[in-house]
Amino acid sequence: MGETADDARLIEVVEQFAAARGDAADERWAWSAMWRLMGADVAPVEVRGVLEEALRLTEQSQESPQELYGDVDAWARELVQQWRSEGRLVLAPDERVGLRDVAVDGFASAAWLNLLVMAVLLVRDGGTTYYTAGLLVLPIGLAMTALAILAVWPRVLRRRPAPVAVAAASVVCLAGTALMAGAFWLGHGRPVVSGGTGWLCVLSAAYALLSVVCDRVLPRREPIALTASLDDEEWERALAGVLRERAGLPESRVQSIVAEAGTHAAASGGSLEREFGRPEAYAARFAPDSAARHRRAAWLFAALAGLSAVSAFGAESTWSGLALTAIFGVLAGCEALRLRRGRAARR
Amino acid sequence: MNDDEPRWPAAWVRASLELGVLGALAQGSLHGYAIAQELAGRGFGLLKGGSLYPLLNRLEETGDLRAAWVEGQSGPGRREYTITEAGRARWRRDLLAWQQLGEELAALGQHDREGAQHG
Repeated sequence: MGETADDARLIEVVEQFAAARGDAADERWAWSAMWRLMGADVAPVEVRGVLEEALRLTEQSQESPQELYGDVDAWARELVQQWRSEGRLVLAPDERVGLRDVAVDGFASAAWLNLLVMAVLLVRDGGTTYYTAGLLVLPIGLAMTALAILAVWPRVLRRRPAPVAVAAASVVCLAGTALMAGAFWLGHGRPVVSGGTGWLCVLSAAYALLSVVCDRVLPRREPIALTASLDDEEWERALAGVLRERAGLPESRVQSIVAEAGTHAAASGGSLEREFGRPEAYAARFAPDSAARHRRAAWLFAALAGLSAVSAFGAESTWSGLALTAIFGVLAGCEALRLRRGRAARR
Repeated sequence: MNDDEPRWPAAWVRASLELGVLGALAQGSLHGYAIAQELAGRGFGLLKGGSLYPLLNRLEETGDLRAAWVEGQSGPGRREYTITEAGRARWRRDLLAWQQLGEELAALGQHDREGAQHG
């Protein structure tokens, strides 16, 4: 609730830039600034503070933010670097996808995917189609598998090195794919029933209803408390988790940072929390390894493209599988391009 | 005066910390806590690990320092930092620039502007 209110107030400030001098370019500058700062994990409330100051200055001086602050990219980069060194950034653990979300969002996504499948079938088969087991399982299988991967990945990464998290996510991915492939294989050439394509609307409505029921019935997660005091062992575990999950640092660096904090605290005689502050704030002082993030995303999309290509041959509508393969392929290419650009920029 | 308390405002300490760390290492390799103590003895106050290690990490990434784990005689090993040639060159260059800044600041208050303009 608090986050939503913060977001809404931030957007309000950004939109006020258009009226500051009556120039729409100022609002575009503010949007760019907002996305760049949010992309660097700056909390919405901090972004709002800095944009409010920029808005005041723009109104008073009647100069454009571009003239006042220079290139938005360079300005945001410098500001983030300064805040990082001052310890003003916090990398809160990402727990947006929990088991409750897998059920609620999984059924909701399945409802939409089912409508997409219906649209494809209406174009391909017209008003009547053959319902096979594979066709019925595909939307719910895809939605649940994707959500389960999103839930498993950060959870494992917070506690174990990246290769273990990759293995866990791969197991979930393979289990989901095997389930869908099995349904296609069993139902191939053996339609469950032949009927109106529009009946898929009823299935979508059932998924939507299940999503609402899960939302009402399943208990909501407690927000992560960042105020509770941590002993040294908990602190080390939390720091390693945030460095892996949010900063994307390789395991060797994670272990080195954690061990060095331990030796420093032992020498100073203080607790890790007293000496280094909250692990989430301490982790934010290290520049994230964006190359590792892009590399992982490129591999993930490449794996999904591979799986889509394999499943395309099992499905009856091969072209939709190939379309998915192309989409994941393009996403993998984009991530590889970002990785290359990042490397070139560092040289 | 207690070494734990800084002799200068926090903003000055923050701004000159990189130079301080490079200077502390110019005489030889040290581990993190020893760098903090060396700087405390020079009026920086006893730095918290939360400020020191991310800076050491940055200097390592820029190639100004290198670090290696050294086995401790008793207890756990420590990560020891050594200044590189590039780091030493940067330290000399930045130190000179700070000295020039100090001289300019001192000169600002001593010059008779009117006299300088007419004389």
